[in-house]
Amino acid sequence: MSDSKDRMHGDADGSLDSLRRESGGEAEFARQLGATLREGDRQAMAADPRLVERLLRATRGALPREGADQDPGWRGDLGLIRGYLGERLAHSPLLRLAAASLLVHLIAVPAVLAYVYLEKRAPEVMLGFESPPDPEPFGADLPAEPEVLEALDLDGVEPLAAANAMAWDRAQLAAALESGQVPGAGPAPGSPEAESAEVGESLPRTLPAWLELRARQIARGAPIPCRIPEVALEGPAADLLRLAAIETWLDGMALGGAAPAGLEPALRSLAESPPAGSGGQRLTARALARAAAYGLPVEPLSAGQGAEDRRLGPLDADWASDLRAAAEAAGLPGAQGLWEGQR
Amino acid sequence: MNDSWDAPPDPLESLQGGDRGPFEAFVSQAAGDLLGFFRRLGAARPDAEDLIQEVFLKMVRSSSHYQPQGRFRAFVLRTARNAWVDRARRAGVRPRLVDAGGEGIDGESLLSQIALAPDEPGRELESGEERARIEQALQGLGENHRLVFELGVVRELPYAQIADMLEVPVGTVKSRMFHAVRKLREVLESGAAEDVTAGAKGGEKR
Repeated sequence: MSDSKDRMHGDADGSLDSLRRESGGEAEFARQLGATLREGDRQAMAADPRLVERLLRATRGALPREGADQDPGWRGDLGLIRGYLGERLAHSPLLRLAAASLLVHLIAVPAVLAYVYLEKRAPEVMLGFESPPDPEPFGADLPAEPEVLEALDLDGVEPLAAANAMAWDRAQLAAALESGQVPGAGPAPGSPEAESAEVGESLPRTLPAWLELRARQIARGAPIPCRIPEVALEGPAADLLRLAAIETWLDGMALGGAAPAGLEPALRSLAESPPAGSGGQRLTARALARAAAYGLPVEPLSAGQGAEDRRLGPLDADWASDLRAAAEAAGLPGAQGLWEGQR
Repeated sequence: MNDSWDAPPDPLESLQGGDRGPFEAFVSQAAGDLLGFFRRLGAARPDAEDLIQEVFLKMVRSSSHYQPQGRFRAFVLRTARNAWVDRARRAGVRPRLVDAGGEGIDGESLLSQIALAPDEPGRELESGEERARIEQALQGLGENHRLVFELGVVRELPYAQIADMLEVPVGTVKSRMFHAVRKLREVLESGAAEDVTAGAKGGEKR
């Protein structure tokens, strides 16, 4: 220690005593102090080269790369910015977190845009009302020309119609007999007289005989063969006899018999020469209509000729009344007697 | 030495141009000066080294917008002073002062912290003692006076630049400088007188 102080005292450079002796004032004193301190700093640094190495190493790490900022253009600017940002990010955890968040958001934006605008959307459900098409006017789908219905095949219908007419008359005749409207007495149904009708023996020559024969035939329920004698066709009662015979023959057909041979000629004669009077016309119209209904080739009379619009019964009170009027008109004797014995 | 800081080429300007050589040379050159700067302000050795590194790193970061105006030395010292102030604020306490015994933070004496060159142990010890006494005397000053002395005497900055750096009037700078130098002189002279007396007694003993 004493050696160092001796050196300090004897040292004209840097020692305090020499400074105090040599300095002319405080300014000089201060300058000397500064020089001493600076020299001391230099010596201290020279004795510790490792500090300089550490400082250089740390400083070089912070320095930008060689030539990175030499480009005066935009590349150089980008390099400076990059370096600055990298340095700031390295020193600030909060800044790194913000940068990471920003990066995530920037990456997510295109994905969101792609989802929103590029992905096909599912069809939206829409409700709407549609007015129904105007209905076609009624009949628009119908053909302009109506279809012609196929004509029914009426072959075979006429025999059925004739059979039906006969069956109907058969029922009417039975009902008339039961009701007692049959003019002229006759044997009771099922009586021996009714069953023992002569064939060809008792030819009715008079109107009452024909009426009786008719009644008997109806009561029997089966046709009785007979014919009109020629002598009966003479005189004023011929038309009525002919008419009564036609009705009797038609009854026979209704009861299941065949048409007699004299029926069609009688019908023609009746049509040509009907009985006189309105009653006679009505009787003729009914007989011809009945014959036509049975399928016989006759022309029924029209409405102006006494024909009725409706289908009349073969034997009813109107027929009996018309027959009486026609008989009286013909002057037949005993016209009143036609109804005698009538049950 | 201080004038060499302002000598061309400007290290930061060279760094802007992509040439790192001048800046690295400046680092090697100024490391010791800045170490003494921070030590005399009151920082312990480890803190002073951290502050030096911080100063260099700040200079590198600011190199992109650095405007060379022929005052590189003032720029460096301003950066150093700001780093010192920031460190003090972060610490929340005034910088640790070296006590009269020269004890550092780790308990070692200030003298023992000076590395000795193995080839010249005597010389290092002598300069270290002088510097230690001066630095010890500086610790007796207030922080403002100490800073003005460091910037004006050691770093030889003009009063105008010191005033601009510290944001005080030039007259304040001069006043602080005057009082600092006067105080140091009184302390150092009284200390030198005691050494002389002790040396005389020791010599008499021998």
